[in-house]
Amino acid sequence: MKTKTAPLFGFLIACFHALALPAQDTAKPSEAAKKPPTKEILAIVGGDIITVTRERIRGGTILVEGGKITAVGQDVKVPEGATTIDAIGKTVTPGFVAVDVGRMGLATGGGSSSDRNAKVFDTLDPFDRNISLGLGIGITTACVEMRSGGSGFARRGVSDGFPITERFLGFDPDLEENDAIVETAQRDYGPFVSLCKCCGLPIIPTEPIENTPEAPATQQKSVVIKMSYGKLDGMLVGESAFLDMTPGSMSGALGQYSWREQIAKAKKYLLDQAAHEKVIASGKKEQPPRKPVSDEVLRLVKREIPLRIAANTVSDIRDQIQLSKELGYKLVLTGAAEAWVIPDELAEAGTEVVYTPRRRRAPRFGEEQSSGTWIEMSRILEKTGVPFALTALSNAMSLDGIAGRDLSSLPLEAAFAVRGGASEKTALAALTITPAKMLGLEKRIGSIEVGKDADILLLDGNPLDYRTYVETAIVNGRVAYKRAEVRVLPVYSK
Amino acid sequence: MCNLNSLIQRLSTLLVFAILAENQCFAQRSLAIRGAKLETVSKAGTIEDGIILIRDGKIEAIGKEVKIPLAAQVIDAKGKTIMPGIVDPYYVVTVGRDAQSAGETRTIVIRGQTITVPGGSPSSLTSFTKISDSIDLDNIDWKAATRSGITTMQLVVSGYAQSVIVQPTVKSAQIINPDGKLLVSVTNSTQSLDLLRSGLRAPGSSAGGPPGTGSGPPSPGSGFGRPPGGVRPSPQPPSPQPPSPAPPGNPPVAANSSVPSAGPTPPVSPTQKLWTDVREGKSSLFVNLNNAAAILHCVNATKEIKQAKLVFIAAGSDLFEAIRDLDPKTHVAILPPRIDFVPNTRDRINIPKFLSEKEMPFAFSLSLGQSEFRVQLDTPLFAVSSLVYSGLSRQKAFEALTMMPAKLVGVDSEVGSLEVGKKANFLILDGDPFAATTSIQSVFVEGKQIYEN
Repeated sequence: MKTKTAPLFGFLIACFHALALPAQDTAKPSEAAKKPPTKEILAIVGGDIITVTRERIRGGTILVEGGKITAVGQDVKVPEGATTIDAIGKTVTPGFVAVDVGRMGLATGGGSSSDRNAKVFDTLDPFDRNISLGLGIGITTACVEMRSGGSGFARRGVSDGFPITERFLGFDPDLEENDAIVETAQRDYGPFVSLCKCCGLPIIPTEPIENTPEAPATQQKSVVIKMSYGKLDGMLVGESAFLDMTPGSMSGALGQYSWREQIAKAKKYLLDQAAHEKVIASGKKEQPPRKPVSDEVLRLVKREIPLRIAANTVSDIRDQIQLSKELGYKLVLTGAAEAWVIPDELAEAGTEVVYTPRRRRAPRFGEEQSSGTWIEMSRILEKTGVPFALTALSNAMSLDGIAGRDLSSLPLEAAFAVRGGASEKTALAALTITPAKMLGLEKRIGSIEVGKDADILLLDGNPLDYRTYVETAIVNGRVAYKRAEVRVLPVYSK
Repeated sequence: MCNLNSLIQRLSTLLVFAILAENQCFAQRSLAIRGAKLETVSKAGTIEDGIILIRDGKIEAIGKEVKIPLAAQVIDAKGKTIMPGIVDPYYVVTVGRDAQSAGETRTIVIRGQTITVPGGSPSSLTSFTKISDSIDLDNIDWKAATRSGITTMQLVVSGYAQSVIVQPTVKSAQIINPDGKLLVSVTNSTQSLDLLRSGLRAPGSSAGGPPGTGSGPPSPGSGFGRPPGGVRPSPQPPSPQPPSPAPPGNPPVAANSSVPSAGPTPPVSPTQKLWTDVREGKSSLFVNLNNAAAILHCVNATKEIKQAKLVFIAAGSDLFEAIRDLDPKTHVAILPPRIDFVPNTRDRINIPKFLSEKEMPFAFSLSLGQSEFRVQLDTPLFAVSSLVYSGLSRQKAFEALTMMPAKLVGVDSEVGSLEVGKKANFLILDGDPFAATTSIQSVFVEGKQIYEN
């Protein structure tokens, strides 16, 4: 028996080999055939590519794979099986980056500060109609403020994790007009007048002025999201790209005192923390130091994020620059109406600016030549090397706001920056790479370069022309908007 | 004597037999309906001019060639159509807790100021209700259900609960299964999603860690992003009594008060058992979603648990938007039967037809989100007929009304189709069920007529 089974066994093994070998051979090509569908390649062919950071490419091709740009150029070959988007006759630009957008892309009510454990990711709403509106004017990434409700209903401040809802209807503490009210009141009653944060009435201090410092300034929260319509993955880019403060929280000697205290506490905490880590590393046990300030303040001190604050008058701007130099943090000024008066001071301090070229502010009486807004601010900032990003007249993503189904869109502001004397290149950068840098995302977005996120716009004309429409918007390598299908903007061909 | 005795004995046995026989006879008195068109919603398909024989509340025979027993009561239903009773998989009711919290207020303290706001505390969202424990069937108006031809329904409440399955009777309703399915309502908020995540997480695994956010927040390269769950430090100097909402992060299982909080070996709470069944794919989880984004979040939160079967209760337009993320293998949709709008447009769309093209299984809930359901309607299937008229296949429409919801609720062995051995729950209609003007003539539950038009 044994002699018989052995050859049979051998035969079986031989059979297995014979079976296995061809099987292996066939497996290889099938795997190779399977590979392309797993990584879809998108090719945008024939467009006039404005890369923003590099030269312009006429009739170029962009390849997109796995949400990233893998090739850009005139002699890029389109691989077989790639999905092709015809961009002949179209202008191709990177997606615009909006640094100041009202609440959008987040579910209403969700993520309210009443729930301390609330995570921003859980409130994302990729089907928000505002996303389509934003894409309609080319915004692919936005720094969205977290406050809920429309303006006038809730104060920006959040006290101890709770929204303050008692407030007079229609009053917005950050409104530009408030400055004028304060100025008038200061003229009438003296320099210690401030605005009530709830009702907007001027507060006239009575003697004696309280000696205790104001409660520490409250900050607003923001979140950076991609306009990836209908897709949750890759939508949330990050939280708190800025430390946002209201100008009121830092005005006056007491406000500034309390701000300095906060920064000092943060610095001390960082030292304590470092010492604590050393102790832990040496194997001893120790209670970690208590965190005296918010994470955002700590990151500000570490120069990871800038402080973003509104300052319009020369004196307010100087105050903020002075504080940022003294305390050693990065500063982004919004509003910045009179920044053109002292551009060298901004450039020297490395301060960046977010402003609206079309916003008007009347000059002060007697200082007509050195106050108020001026159309040529864009030229002056460009010349002095102050980086600036642009924002629309209203940050609400609605009909009359930033999405601009009327004329309030971002590209139009860029056009006005060009009108004021900035180069087209700088104006386009003010919508793309400059804000991307402010958000700390210049390695991912803001230009058309190999390795960056495929956030790409196909436009039917010059991006700075108000007649131009975004035809197609691609976010994270996926078509997220088509004007002809989404129909938030008029559909016709010229 | 002997003879007499035996005679009496014989007589008494005869009597007993006679009583038994009569009883049997009474029980065996069956009902036959003939002449009607039978929509069986089974393999038998449609039977023209068929006979359905009912005994003991069950279907004893069905078909063209059925021998009608002599004793049977016969109903002639020529020109009528008979279809299985409708199963409503999501019949919303209010029970004790909901009714209480409607008038409830809570007090919150903001900067020393006390403010009273309407509504219960946020934690009430995550407290568990077993509906069969707190429902009073006699105090609910079932008229709308019975006249709409609903013969089996899963009663649900919004929030976190275990359903109960009932069937209507002539005056009220009776419970078929007190231990129904697990229900959760999910919005895009951390609180409701955490309920889902913690429930689906296997016990003992990464209990302290933040619930998986899937592929969620991203990009360490971007340089910012707070660690999830990081406690926001209070920059405030000691302030009078920090406002205290409900203690966050309560595990939902703790909400069940019947479970002793301490003990050497805590018994498995009923909710834990329910979640385990869901995790292992033994029972489906009913998730009520109020918008399209919530569907995506829910799919994201349940991505890891491959076996879990999820039933999504959502509006048609939300399903339309989220279709790319839905998996026909593990997801089933429950939606109201109606023509919807394509989101953000005025274009109308037949979502059930769209879903069947995408091979996505779905069931209808006649009661869901339909105001006309509550008012007197002679043609409860009008909405479905408009869907059939605009392209939904008849078979799919029948299935979505009867067999599919029966499967979802777990009563498909008893109801959902006209088959031998199943409960005699059926409707007699005066014409084709999906003709716009057809009305229901009578509704039978377990062979008894509970409604007549």
